[in-house]
Amino acid sequence: MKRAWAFAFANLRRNRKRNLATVAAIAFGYAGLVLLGGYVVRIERFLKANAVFIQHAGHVAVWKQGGLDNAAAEPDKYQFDRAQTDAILAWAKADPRVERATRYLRGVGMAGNACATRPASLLGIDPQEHAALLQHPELLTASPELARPAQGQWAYQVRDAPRGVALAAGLQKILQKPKVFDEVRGKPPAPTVLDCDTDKVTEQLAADADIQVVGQTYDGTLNAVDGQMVASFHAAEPVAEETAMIVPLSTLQSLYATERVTYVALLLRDTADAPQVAADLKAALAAKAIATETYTYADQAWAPYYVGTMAFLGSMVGFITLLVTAVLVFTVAGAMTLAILERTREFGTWRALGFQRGHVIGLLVRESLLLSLVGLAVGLAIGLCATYAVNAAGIRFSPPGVAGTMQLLITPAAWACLGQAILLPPGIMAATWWVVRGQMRKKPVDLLNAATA
Amino acid sequence: MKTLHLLLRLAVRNVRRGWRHSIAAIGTMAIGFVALATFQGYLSQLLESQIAMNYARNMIGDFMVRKPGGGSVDARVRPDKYWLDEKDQAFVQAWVKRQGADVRAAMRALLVEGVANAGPASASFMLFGHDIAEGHIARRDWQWYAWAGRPARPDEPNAVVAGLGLGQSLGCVVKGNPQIFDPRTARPIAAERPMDCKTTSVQLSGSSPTGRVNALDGEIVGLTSGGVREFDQRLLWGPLSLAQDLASTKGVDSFQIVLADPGRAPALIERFSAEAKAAGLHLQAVDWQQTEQADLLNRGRDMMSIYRNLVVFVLLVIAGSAVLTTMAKTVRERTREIGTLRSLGFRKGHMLAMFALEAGVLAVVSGVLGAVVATGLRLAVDAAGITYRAGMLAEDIPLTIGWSGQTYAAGFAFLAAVAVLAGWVAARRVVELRVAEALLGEH
Repeated sequence: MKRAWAFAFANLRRNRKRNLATVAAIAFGYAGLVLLGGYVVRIERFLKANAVFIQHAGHVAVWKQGGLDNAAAEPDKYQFDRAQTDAILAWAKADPRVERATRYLRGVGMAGNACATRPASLLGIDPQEHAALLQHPELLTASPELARPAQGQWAYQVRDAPRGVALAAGLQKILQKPKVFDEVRGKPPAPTVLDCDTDKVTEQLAADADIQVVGQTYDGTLNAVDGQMVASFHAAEPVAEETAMIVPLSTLQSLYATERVTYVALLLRDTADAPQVAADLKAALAAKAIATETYTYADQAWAPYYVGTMAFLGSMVGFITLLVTAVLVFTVAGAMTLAILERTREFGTWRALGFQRGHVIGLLVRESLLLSLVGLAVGLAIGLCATYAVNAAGIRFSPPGVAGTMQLLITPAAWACLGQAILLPPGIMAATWWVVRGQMRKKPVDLLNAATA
Repeated sequence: MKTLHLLLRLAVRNVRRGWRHSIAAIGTMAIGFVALATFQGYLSQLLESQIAMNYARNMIGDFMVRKPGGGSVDARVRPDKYWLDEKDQAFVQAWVKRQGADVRAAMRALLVEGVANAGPASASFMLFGHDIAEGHIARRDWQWYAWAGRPARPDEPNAVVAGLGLGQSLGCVVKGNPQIFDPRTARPIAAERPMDCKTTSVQLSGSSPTGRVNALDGEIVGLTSGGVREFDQRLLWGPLSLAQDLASTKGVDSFQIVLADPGRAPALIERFSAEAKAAGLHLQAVDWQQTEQADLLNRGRDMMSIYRNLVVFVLLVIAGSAVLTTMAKTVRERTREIGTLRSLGFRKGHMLAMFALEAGVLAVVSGVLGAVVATGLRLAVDAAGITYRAGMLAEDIPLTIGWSGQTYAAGFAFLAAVAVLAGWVAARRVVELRVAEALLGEH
């Protein structure tokens, strides 16, 4: 049928008022989906950056075989020695897909302020390697606030503190160390022996940024190192807010009297390479008789919070999308039923003029498609305007599992908008086809005399 | 009243006569009802089940007694300032005794942090020392809480049950891959499953408020999960006496009060507060959900509210548009009928009421239809046995949709309000026409 689209468009214009409500329903439904999709995209980027750079999962991480489960219990057996670490670093350096490799040592100890001690979860990382992570464009794009300390400067930024450590903000409060190294530099030091049982202690503790870390070497000897608190930060998980501590790798190695590292994390130029890089690295190390296990940031065992949260959000958003789509399809089906009933005589006239059933059905389906597209376009515009308004409002909120607050940002992605948009027209067209087909079974004479028109 | 009855009859007749129009509106509102009831049912079921499970797994009372400020940052710096001393404890225990059967258990608890060593392995721990026998009651339907090994017994002064993550750090894991959960109850099966431990003896080091470091021996008798993975990395449950010895105190952080009827918690909180004040004691009775410890729960609840509000808003607009379209069409087609009724003496208000009633009738039919479909959908989803992962939670969550009369009533009221408003908006302009214009259908 020639000019069918023009004909359908003219019909829609002719019934502007009637179609307005239908377009509004589609538009608001789709705008809601755009906002929801944009929120999920934003959360995904945030959580991924949080997992890769702040929880130090990397895009790919390599552990000694069984290390993820046993490294804490048997560090000597399940951590990499110097030669094994060098082999991993050499492989990473030679592979063009790998941007950089970072060594980590994990352990526990007691953090002290000369009066009291608290258990601490220690993460050892070379300050320069830490700098590269915190300045990474992927992190800065996803959430620059994640890269900033809560107070002070990171160890790589403080040249005159060779053992600069960073404490989680909760641990800093409990140890009563309100000032970081930069704030006490050049000021009179605290007394050598503090008056721990008197009221003077609060002032004395605040006079310096010294922290003692006590731990057990791998051969069972008690050991201690001194450090200067150069920064405090919000831990990636609330549970760690009162225990987490970042220590220079060499300092932590000297505390445990070891050269070992717990794992090595790789940052990739293209995240999509992660599964292949993980497989290739494992195979390459196996060829050198180093048994390893490799994980990507999307592995449940390695990045459970990111994977679990995204699975939950995925379920939630899928459920909502399904509900909204179903409501929209029924709404449009209802509106089309009314329109078709009203236009029964018009259809009878077309049939009498020689239009076949298929022509009329095709025309109505085209009308519904155009209606959907107009609704989607308007919905996209509303969704983007609402996005701009929400982002400009600077709303902050406290999602579960994140220490502190984060800004409510909505970042609609083209692929997400397109994916949600693709869902709607087929449903709406199918509903129209189903409604029209029933009516078109009637003879032209019955259509012309229909009482519903 | 008589007029209202007449208008109602007219409204019902109109809905029946214009059934084709009515079906479109009913379909939209019914699916809107299904969407609302299903989504709200899902969210409320999720929250209720997680809260109930959290209370049972972590021995949370229907209310707790502590010192004002307990749980604050200051209490983390100087915990001893916020401990209930023996006099406070005696008062609470005497008060509990006076409540008779209202109180099922009053469990004392003390949190101590430190480092655990098992051979070369060491890990930081949070020991939740508690009265084992009372804790058994506070666990409600989670009395067997061991994934492997067994729960601690009241006569074992050094028995501790470690979180799965902490156990792993100390070289103690669940042996093999046994079935832990009963699929019928979603609780651990009450049977001792084997543990694989390098050693079950651990040395626990903690410090007293004066800075004295104490070290005591503990015996891992079981492995468990508190429900949150990060929490499991440090979790240790053990007898109160062990925690008190580690901290060199006879004090406790709090009492968890488990009631026979949790609904009586507000009244008993009030009663306790009054009696404690009269006795000159600085004690606070508080609902756990109002404390800092419920931060994760409250944040999760806030997030759910955002999703729910978004869905409600979208459905409001969609259902409102659909009903508005239907009612506008109905009103337009019946301009002459409105003129006739006006000429017979019906007032403008009567006309508006009639269309609002029509919309109300549509909402009632939609609500009934929607309730039937939502119930069917709920039964189907619950029977499907679907599970999914969620954030920091240690185990998969079963996908279930709850039912509550309140939710259905709220969904119905919501749709009825939308429909009546839409009917009123649609009818307003036509009703304003002069009778002669309306009789000529000039609209």
